[in-house]
Amino acid sequence: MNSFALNSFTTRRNFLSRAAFSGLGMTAAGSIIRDFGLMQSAMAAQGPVSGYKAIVCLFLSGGNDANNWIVPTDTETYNAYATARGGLLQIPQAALLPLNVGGSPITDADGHTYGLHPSSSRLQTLFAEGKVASLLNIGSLVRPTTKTQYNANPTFYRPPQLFSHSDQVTQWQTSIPDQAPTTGWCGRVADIINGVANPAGNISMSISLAGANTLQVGNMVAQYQVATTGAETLSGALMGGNNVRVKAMRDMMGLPNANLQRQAYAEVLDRAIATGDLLNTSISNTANDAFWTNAFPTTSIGSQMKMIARLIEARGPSKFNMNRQIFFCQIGGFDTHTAQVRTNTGTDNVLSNTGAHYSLLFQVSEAIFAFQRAMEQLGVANDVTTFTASDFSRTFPNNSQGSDHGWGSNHFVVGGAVNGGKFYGKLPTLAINGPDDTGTGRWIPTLSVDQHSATLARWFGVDSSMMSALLPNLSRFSSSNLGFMG
Amino acid sequence: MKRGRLIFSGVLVLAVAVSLWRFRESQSDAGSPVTAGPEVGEADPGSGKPEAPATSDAETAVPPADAVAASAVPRSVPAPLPAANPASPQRQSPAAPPLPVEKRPAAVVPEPAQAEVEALARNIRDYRDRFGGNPVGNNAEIVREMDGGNAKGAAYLPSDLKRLNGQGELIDEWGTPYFFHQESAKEIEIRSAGADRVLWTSDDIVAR
Repeated sequence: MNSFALNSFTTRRNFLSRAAFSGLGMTAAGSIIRDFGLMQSAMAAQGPVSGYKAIVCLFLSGGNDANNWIVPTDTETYNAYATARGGLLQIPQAALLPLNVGGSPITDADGHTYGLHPSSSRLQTLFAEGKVASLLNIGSLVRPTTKTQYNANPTFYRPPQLFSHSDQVTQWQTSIPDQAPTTGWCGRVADIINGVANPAGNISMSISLAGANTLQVGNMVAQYQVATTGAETLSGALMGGNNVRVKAMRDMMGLPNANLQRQAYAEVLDRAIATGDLLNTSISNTANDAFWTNAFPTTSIGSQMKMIARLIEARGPSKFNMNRQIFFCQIGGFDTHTAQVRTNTGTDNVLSNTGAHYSLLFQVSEAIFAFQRAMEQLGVANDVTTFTASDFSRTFPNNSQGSDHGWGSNHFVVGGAVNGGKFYGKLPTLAINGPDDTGTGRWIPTLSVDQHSATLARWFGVDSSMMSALLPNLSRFSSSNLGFMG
Repeated sequence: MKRGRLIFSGVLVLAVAVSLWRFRESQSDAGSPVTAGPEVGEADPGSGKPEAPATSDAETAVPPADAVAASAVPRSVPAPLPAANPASPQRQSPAAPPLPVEKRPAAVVPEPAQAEVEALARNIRDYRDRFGGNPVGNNAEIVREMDGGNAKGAAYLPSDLKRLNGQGELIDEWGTPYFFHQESAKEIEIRSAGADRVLWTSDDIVAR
């Protein structure tokens, strides 16, 4: 008998072992749900959540080379950047878009000034308006880590599978890098706050424009996926001229069924159809592009952010009836090992607006700008905060064609409630094998995703007493509030 | 109610017992003499020789520990060629400049080179099976981890694969460092730049 056949049998020992672990797992899951239920009760005791707030995650999939997104411009630091970066990826100092407020350059705590990638003029505008905060050298951390610690005790200090795409994506989105992923941090926020914030909400608190994601996975609140054209529904000619088949199907699903599983399935399906119809009806008034005073770009990320704006427009009591919402959108293509600056004609040019990285950052900048203007048009500019995230940044030196997987990155938080026009965190020493480098320009982060998540969650309404349940590793870091949310 | 508590207590006791038993089993697995080589710093701390991997794949060539140590000297590499688009100084490998486009050979993958990349992939798989995930880092870091610089001192880089440049990077037969694309804990792509010495071109040799 071959080994496969042998493996297909389960021994009594294995069966008992698995049964015992399953039992423990179910007990743990029950315990988690109970804990979040208790937190909801605690939130309810503090009174109803009033007013509207939304968080939008814009994920740059593949690992954005943030070393070229925000570049130091003071002479000494720029020279360090130019020396280490190398000719291919180096942006000329004169081409960088200075980050000024009121016409004056803004400095970080160490006195550095900065410029943006030449593609990102719209972000530059928002920064000058005080609506953008820049986070320097942020990434997934198990605990605060120095280079000495990184080298001396890898298993204690390094996030598991550091530098791998899927693990770093997961760790950014769970904010618990040293544990197996079960929920995303926004999913846990929804678990805590949904019951008190959206007691009569007509739609899920967590909506994704980019399919399933880890960020919004919760124990109680399920993420709802929407296309850039709206909810996918059963309609059209196949469903009969007047959707008679849909009506017939829903009538059948409404019939009581003795089988509990069938009954539950029917209810879920019926609810999905109803939610899809409600969603599409509720956003119909914003279908015309002329609705928006500032046009959205027609790119994928532009379309995703336009749909988020349309969903936010429909937040009111007569439609979705939501006080808190979390959205997820995503743009891919940032894994630029090669052709990072190659143009459509095959020319390597960091300043070409058809280069791969230039094009991606341009799309992001344009989409964020249009979205922010849309929020201002809707009167919710102070209530909606967008943040960028990515797998990791990339190696600082070029590999002759692009850059490879890095770690600490630079990101933006955008919105009217943001304490913007400022830099948060500390620029790493831009020296290969320097004090902040694990090797080949992969910076050890000095801001953690946990701190970033806690700052946003607090603004969103999660009580301080619940932070340790939301972000179990937060207490390892010196501050739980980075200060970028007012 | 009382019966329910009894059953619950029984499941808990059973779970604890099974956990202890599994822990004992894993300890005995880790300590089992899979090869003749001792764990570094344990039975023979003076030797410092890395342990050979425990593998069930008969095709995976795992040399004795002394052969691994003897193979640390890099094999010969081709003479450098002019670089059209040089890497940053910190990233340059002296043996791996790309060929100009007009001099790049047709995309014919030589069998030994393909076999070498595939063997490397198998050895990384063996590492993954042992440690629960792929080695991480850049080329030189992965080489160190595969070459005994891991928690168990186990070596996964036999002499016939161990061709290093001066920076401790594993290079292909044309002298270009392999590229390890880390996709997840279980997925890694190993890429040789091929005869043109330029990554991401049609003659690249890839295994996972």
